[in-house]
Amino acid sequence: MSIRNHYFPRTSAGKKATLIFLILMLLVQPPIVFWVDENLRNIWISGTPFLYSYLATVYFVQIGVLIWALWKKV
Amino acid sequence: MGSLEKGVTLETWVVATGLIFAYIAFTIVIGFVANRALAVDMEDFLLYGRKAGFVVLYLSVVATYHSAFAFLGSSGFFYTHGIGFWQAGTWTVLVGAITYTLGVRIWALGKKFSYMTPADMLADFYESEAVRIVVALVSVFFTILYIQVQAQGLGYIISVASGDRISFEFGTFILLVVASGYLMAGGLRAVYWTDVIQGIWMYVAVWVGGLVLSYRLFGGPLNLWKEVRIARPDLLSLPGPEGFFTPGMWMGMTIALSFGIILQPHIMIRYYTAASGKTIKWLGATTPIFLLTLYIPTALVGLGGAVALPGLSNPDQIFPELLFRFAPAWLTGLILAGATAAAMSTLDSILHANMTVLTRDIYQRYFFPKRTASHYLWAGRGIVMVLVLVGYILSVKTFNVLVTLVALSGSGALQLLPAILGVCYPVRKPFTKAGVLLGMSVGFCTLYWALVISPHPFGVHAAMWSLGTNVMTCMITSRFTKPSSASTIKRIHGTLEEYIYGSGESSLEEIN
Repeated sequence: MSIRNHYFPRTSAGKKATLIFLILMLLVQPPIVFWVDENLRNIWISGTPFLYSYLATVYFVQIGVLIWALWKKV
Repeated sequence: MGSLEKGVTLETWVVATGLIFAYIAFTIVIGFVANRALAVDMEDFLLYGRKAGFVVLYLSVVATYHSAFAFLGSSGFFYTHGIGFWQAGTWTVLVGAITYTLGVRIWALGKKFSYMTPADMLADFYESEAVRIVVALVSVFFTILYIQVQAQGLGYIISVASGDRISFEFGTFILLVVASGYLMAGGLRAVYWTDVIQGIWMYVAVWVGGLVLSYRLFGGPLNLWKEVRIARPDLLSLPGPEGFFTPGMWMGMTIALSFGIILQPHIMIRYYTAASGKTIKWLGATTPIFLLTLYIPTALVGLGGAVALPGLSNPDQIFPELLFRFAPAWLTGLILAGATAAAMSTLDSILHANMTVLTRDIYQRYFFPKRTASHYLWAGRGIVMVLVLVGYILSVKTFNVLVTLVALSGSGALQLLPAILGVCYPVRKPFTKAGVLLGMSVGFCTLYWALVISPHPFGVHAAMWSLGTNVMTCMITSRFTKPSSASTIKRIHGTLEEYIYGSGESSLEEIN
């Protein structure tokens, strides 16, 4: 049996899940998260600061990606 | 603790202490019930017989992951540094992804080759007893300090709950004895069963506490946010009032508190215990929900506390301070028992992990290799008693060196990352034993420099510095040193190839 590199997903669903998860992770890391804080600080969503809602939304979408990967049997 | 003592009425301390002791009594009963189900078998005692189902494993992992810090420390972090601590979501979500991808591989290798400890797996792949000893010692050294941290947390909680009627030292002693008692009686089964109760209790307690306090003090969470905006707008922006959340700290905490905690033996061993790989994947996809949402109420407590009760000398006291001042006695007791649960669930798991590593990797391997399972079970119990004694001494005595060691411990297990990735992710040119050993050595030296001598240089978390130098050293050294034998690499990486991309779990059943 030939053993290929395991760092890169091979299935289509695996590639999609990995790519989306990593992009979402970038959205909650510097410098983007600091840009969001700096420029959208005065916006409030549903009574909470934009940064709080923004981070929460990305986190829950990331969890959604993990659940989607589970559903697709990645 | 002065202001706290004044706020403790007779009724509150009686109810709070009573609920904590009721909880403790309950865990003792569980320990005895688990003992009756125990088989005289190493895998049963140390690994729950590799039969942990989703619900038990889920609650055990989350309860273990969240320690006393999640209860007391995270509120204190929001209190001091503001909304930046909501960054916690990055590492809790990453914990799920790591479990989903790496955890399932660790489980598969454990099942196929009967690994019980992290050192079992690494020594087998790198064909090195030096790797086994180093990994075992690192595993124990960097987690034994957490026994002290959790035991101190327990002593503090019981001392606060009783209004100092029970001393910190006696509280620490009682809770260490109880946690070690049910561990010795029922092994990992007792730890898992108590973790189920502890996980539910801590989650309910922190949510109820956060909501009740926000309604009592501000008329609800939305009004709380409004008040924070008016009174303390500095808490609602980055990098926070004290400039803590710099970009380097943000990224470093994401790595250190995800990989760094997962690679500690008390979490990693849990992967071996799952009933199936599917259980691990379910775990990965859903644990972030619990881990993340626990920080929603602690944000309310910390941020609301900064408005309602500013100027606390020890911000970690904000949750109990608010409870004693503004919450009913029964709720205060319920929540402090929940904090006890959070600390005990981590403490018992660390005791268990250290017992497993010392029994399996040191005692059985090098001192008494061919004894009965019963012999090793009793040896493990003896090791727990020694660990408790060490933990108690560390908890009640102040050693200056410990402050340094505890600071180091958070990123210590992170240094195992290159070695573990080398086993679990096949590549054309795998890491070598010389590479991982030298990488770890350089990583530890860098960690000491970046955490103790010159803390977080250029605003970048020490974890990033140490991991960076570790990985670079490991990669460069591995290019020029001899890898493990082709047969070993093929055996282990072939198993992963077949499991992940071949016939799945049926490929693991053949040998066992």
